[in-house]
Amino acid sequence: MIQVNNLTKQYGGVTVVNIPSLTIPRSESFGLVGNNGAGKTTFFRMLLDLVKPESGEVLSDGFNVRENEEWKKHTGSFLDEGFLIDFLTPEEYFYFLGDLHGISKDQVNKFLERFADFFNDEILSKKKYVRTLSKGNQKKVGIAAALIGEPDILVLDEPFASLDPSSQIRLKKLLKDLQTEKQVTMLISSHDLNHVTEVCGRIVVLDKGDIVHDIKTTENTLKELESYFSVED
Amino acid sequence: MIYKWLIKHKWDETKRSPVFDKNLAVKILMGFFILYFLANFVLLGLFADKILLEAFPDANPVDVFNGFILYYFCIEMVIRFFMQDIPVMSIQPYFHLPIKRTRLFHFILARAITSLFNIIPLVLFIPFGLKTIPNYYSGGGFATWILGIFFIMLTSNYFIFWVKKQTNSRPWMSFVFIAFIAGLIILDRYDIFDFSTISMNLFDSFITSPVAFLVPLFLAALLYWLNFNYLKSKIYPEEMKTGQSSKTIAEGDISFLKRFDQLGDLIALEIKMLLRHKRTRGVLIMTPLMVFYGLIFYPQETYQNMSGMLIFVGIFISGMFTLSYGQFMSGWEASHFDRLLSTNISTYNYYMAKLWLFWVVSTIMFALSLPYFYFGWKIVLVNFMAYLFNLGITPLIIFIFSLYNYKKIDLAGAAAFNWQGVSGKNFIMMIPVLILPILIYGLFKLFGVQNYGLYAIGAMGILGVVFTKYWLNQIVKAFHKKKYVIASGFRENE
Repeated sequence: MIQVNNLTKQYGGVTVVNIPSLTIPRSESFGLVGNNGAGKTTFFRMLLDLVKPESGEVLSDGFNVRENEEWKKHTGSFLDEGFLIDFLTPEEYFYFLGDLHGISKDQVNKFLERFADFFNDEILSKKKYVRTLSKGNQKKVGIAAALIGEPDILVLDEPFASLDPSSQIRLKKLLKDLQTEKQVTMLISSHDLNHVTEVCGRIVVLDKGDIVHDIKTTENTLKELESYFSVED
Repeated sequence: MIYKWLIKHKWDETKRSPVFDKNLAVKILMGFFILYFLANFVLLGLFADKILLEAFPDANPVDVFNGFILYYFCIEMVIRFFMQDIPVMSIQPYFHLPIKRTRLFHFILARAITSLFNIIPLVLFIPFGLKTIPNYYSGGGFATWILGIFFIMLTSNYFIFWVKKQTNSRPWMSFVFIAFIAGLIILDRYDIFDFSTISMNLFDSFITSPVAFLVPLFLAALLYWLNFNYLKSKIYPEEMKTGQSSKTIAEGDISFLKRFDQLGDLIALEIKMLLRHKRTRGVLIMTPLMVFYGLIFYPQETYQNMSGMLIFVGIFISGMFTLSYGQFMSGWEASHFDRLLSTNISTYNYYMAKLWLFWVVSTIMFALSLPYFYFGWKIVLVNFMAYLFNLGITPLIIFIFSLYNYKKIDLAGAAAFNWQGVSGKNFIMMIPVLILPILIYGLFKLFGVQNYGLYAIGAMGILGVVFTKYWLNQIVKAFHKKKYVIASGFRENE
């Protein structure tokens, strides 16, 4: 599904991403962890053609994301608030995205029903603009928006951060359901080792742009990751 | 189809902008001002022939008018250069969506046409073209003339966008642009190049030739294409911004302020905030320019004798910084206001730091205005009294109003035409500062001793400075009552 070849990016002479080769097969749930500055978000941005790589390429379904825009039709993503059109109401934003995918308002409403719990009555028909929502609620809008149009690939940056515990649990269930029902390929970055090992079948650890671990998730994965990240003085 | 959405979104964005989130009365007032502003241009366009006939009775008013248009567009280009920007970043939220990027670029370029800079020429020139030209030239000359103007306007629009994009990556290019404009002025000044004749011939040709307007049409299209290709080659948001990710900040040395303990730290913090944000830098750049405000009035005899007017100018010259920076107090610090409240900072020092900044800048501005003695010592006297007033009274008024300002200022916003966080209150605050000295002066004038009025203004300022400690303590007391409301206002997203 996604193939990365010799991808590098530097900022002011410092390498932030350096991935010689990485393959993410269809319907894999791919978790990306790493400390701040490890290059997670930059990698995702290059994957979505939002940042120009120094060298190398990202292929989505065999096509270079920089040369062909087809992949956007079946890729849902949410990285940060920059993805939101913040002067719209959440409904307007959802309808707009629905329209881009040829989905009618009714269908969008129907689609949103499954988010009723997740939204916790704080998103829809509140007559508020996205910009006035709290950080957590903005994140919910972004995640739901990323799922409009039944994407084959889902890219989420720190989806659990700034969500309340109930929402985190609901989100985990939502993501797992998507994996079993729709076989969605997922790329999720997180600082929360618990959540990411629970949701993802494969964990990749980035450190200063390099892949330092690439493991299939088992019961021991969480322990391994914790020992990797614990700093001995 | 996607354009329909983009246009709708742009409309929503404008309509829902916090600027318009006002009560009905303010909205009506704003609408009235905009209409009044535009009506001025319409009327000027309609009656230009009468005015020109009066000034140049022997000439054809269309020719005279045409002789001015090129000057208009030159001045306009300079203003555009400093003020107009095409908001490329506004398409960022669409980048990850299934929309062809080229369409987004077309949209952003087309949208630039709706800028205010492109509305003013229309309301000014179309009435003239419709009313006056048919009186002097028969046939469809007026229509091709309007088309010619329209396409020259678009050429200027896209030319400036292109120049600005060039200067973004190469700052020295802005000097080339300024030198170019300055060169034109010099050439015109010494009659090497007679712009008014060129302008007259150019715009006359739009009337007499049915196809001349195709030239600016071609130019506008060419520049559109250049801009489009520029955007296409720089499609990445990080490249459209001016390479800020790799930029490191220049650390100025303001360590001498350390000697003043907490007060010095606060002043240093304030200066850093001023220097490191576009919007505050906009205020800083405007401040020294205010010195030239006097040049509009001083050379004219009529104003020389209108002391009220001179006081007004004096208050602006030394008080502009206090007024324009102070009117949004403490909204500038909204994003870290809770930090200021919860840290071991004395409120007295918090205000004192600002007061010192106002004093220093006012003093510099007064010093810069001293060469105006060329127009007579009276001007220096008036400016000095206004300066004293700006030291003692203006900050007091500003501080009082700051207690009622709950609107956060987005520091990252643009410097020009940025109405974020602006409300009627910000302007009401200016009224006492501007009216009070004139009122005092008028009162003394009523008794025929207007010179004492001038001294009274200065004396008030001195009293204000002498009793700084007293009134500042009163402000501090009031602040502690109001701080919860202020802080909660700052926490709100618009």
